Amino acid sequence: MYRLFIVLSGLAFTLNCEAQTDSVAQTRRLSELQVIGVRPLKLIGSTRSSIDSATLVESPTLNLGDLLSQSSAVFVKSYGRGTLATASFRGTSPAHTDIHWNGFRLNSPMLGQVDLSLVPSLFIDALSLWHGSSASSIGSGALGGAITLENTEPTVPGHHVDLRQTIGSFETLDSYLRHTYAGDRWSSSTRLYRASSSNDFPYRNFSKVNLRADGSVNNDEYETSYNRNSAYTDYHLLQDLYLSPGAGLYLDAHLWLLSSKRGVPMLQTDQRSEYQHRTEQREQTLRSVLRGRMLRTYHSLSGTVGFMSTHQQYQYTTQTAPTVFVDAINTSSYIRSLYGSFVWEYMPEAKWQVKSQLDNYYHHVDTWDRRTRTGYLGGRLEQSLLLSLRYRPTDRIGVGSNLRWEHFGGQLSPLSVTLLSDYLLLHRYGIRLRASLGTGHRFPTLNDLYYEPGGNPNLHPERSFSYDFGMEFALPSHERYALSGSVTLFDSYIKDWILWLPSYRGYWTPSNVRRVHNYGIELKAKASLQLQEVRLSGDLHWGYTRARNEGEPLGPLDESFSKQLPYIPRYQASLTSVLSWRAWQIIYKYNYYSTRYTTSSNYSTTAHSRLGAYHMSDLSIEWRHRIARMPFSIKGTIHNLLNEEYVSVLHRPMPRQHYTLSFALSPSQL
Amino acid sequence: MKRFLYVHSVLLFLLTLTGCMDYEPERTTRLSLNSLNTPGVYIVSEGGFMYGNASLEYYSRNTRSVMADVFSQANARALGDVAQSMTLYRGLGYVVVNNSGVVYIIDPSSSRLVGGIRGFSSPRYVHFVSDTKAYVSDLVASQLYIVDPIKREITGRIPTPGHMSTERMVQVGSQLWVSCWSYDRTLLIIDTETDTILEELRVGIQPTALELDSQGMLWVLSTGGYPGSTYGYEAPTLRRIDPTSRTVLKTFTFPQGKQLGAMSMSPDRTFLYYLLDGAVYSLPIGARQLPSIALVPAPRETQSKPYGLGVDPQTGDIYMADAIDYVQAGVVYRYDHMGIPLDTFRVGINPSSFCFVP
Repeated sequence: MYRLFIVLSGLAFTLNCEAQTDSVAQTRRLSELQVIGVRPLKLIGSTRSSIDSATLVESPTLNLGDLLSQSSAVFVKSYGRGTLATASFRGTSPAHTDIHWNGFRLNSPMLGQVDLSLVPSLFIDALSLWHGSSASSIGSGALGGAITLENTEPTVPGHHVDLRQTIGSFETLDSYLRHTYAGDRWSSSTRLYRASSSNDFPYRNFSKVNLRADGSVNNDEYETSYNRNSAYTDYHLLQDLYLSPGAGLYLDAHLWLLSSKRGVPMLQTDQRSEYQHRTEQREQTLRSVLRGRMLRTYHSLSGTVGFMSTHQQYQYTTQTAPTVFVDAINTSSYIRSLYGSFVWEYMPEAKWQVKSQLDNYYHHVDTWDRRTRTGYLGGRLEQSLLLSLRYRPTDRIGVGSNLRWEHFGGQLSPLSVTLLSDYLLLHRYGIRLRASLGTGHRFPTLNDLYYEPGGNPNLHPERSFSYDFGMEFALPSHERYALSGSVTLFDSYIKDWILWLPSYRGYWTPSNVRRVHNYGIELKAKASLQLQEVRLSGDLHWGYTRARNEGEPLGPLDESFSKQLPYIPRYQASLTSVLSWRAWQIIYKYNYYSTRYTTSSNYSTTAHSRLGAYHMSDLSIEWRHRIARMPFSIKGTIHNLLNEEYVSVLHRPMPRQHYTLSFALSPSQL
Repeated sequence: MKRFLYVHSVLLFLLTLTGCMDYEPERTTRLSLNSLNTPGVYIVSEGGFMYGNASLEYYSRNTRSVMADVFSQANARALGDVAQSMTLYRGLGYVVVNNSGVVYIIDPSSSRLVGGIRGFSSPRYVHFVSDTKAYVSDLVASQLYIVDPIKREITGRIPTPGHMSTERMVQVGSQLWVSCWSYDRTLLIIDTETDTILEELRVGIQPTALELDSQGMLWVLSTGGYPGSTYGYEAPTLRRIDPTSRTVLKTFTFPQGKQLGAMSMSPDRTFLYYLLDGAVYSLPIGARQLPSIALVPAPRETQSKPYGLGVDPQTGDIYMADAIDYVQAGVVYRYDHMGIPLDTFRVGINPSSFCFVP
């Protein structure tokens, strides 16, 4: 019986059915319960971290980029407020980070990356980060790591509504409505989200030459500029359906519609008028996933089908005469992806588990620029077969392996192998040692291969070899305090790194030029303390990443060898601390990146070779109450608490201190 | 409650310990006029597209010293995004910053800003007709701008229908020859008195550089486009054109796939220099065939290919710019007219063109 219980527990874990807390009523930071000693077989040797559900629903204004920068050791490169944000693990590139939503890979087949600013945090019920070779369990191409986003079944019986409204500086309005229904056999969740902002914050422009109307110069003072051409309006709809017909069968379906219209902010140095020169990007996306799982005593079968359709339009319009506007760029891209997956897991006893997973993607891209009449039409079938084995001969020791074969567009990759192990050193304090080692491959994106002009069909897949080892601990559960933490050392090598560089003919082209050696340390600590009615908790992430370019120098004067990759900070940290007292809660968030170099040589004769260290603090105060038995909360947030003047990337301004005010209402049990 | 406030106070105190970001205005530096007054060359470094890190460097020919990022030092402001070219006229330097949509006017002896002209879409080069009239070409506007350098304003436009861009300009008498580079193969001939297009001449795909030789003949370099281009792809060419009869006198065709880059004239305009696959070749204007040996081979042990070329009109020294990987400080190689190395020095990111100061 015990064996059966363990087996079913392990299989149930694979469903990622984490407790749902997406409502005002349920958003409570509970004392942590430390479970020591029973670690799912799936996690043997893995470096995995997660963001708790309370953080995910904390603010309607947060997107996935904000969330990761404030609550993880992942480096988020943001090009400004309301614009592109990407994530990278351990000094790799955003294309080396696989992001999966309910099993479906979101990475663009054209660019290889995901714009995190278009993923609202309220659309995620469970988020896990898989670092380094641990990501080999998730998908192919994740040379740096992987992020899994899951939607989970509502757990509150009956109908439930959650309303959230945020107003903020720069005409920011974020509206969120969710309805859930949970019955015996089926449940549903419908979420609507709208975000808009004029985003025209003022800033002191230290970079722009101050020209008067007559063309003379006034450089005695710095111009107060506004973030120009940066307004955005996004609409999202997410529908989830869950069905449990019985007999161990589970079905879930997810549909995500997105419509976005965003300006591309002008650089600080731009002397053109935003009324005469506008760059805008629009996106309409449909994502859908249908999953079915069948649980049996010793094994489970699951199948997934998914479809994604995206239309992206990038348009740069310029005024060439008083009444003449022309499109300097007008690129339309239609991307369609079909996904099918089949997973079989076999767990004959608590000690071992076998899993095989076959993933099939078919991507089709049609991109065309109306002005230059260039573009490409391309498709690719991507197949990946994963065989994984986990074995725990004793309570203390666990070992595992992943073997992955990939077949991309007719090209077969060498076998990717990952070996994982862990060892429970001290049961009482949950001290566990873990190690992993693996190889990986990432195939070029469709833009890398076919983009016009510049695509290079002769590119090879990128190859990686990485290993890490670490230790984690968790003090035994105590009603007044909790403490857990981990330390991980990692080392990885990526060869044939694909890099786009300008070519002689005036356009950019990719090639396998770079070889990068990444190593460093990741620290994580989580603590909480209960003092009568006061509760204090903290979540700290700290990382040191050395990302060395070890590629063949392009010549004797190439000074980039052994230097840190551009825009990768050596040190980074994030801290979230929460102080709760009765109905009040104060949340302080701090995010730090050390100096980032903007050149491959980490040096330049110009004044723009580095971005100074980044320190960002946000402070929120929240009050919760009940109105006519309906949970109600109001929350005020000061963003950029210390009123810093800064840029996120060269000449991309960021706002100084600004504010949001959020209201949330949960008229539950309708 | 007291404990709550206490903890709260401690938290706020800790906040005050948080460091401030290292972000501040650039400082103005009074540049040594002595250095800038010596003859030399301004090197225009484009910087990275959409990074706004273009720069100007000044290299003193006599002292062989480089003054880095002189624009920012002299003006405490960034030059902008993608500096394209610099032209001297009547003692002032006109620096075209392509993706900032502006032409800055500087005093070349100090690099201090004198003024600027705005209103362009994507400006590339300036050509002066007189003290009160100049033309500015543009990458995306289907027109040539007419500007008044004294009033620092756009005074007119010459529409160029059917052509997406205008690029380099050379004046022969009252006629202005303009290359149309982007997805094009045309030279425009414009009457500078009436500001109208007189004729269009079809040449090789993607004509860029234009030069006038000592016999008054016009040279045009066409890169040939790129493989897969919907506009076409062909071998790069050099053409010698008689601007009077508007006929092509000679066409030199390079092997397809060769990378033909910048072009410049010797001081007496009897030799043409061009960059082919990173090497400098010298071609007498009366030559019947292309040289087989490079005057300056591509830099040894270097995979990058220089793509900026300039010839000092005073000394005939050849300057070649190498951007290396385009995200680090580039390098300029200096040779004498025989191809003997004289100096190598670091400049800004992505150096591409030169402006010689007598």
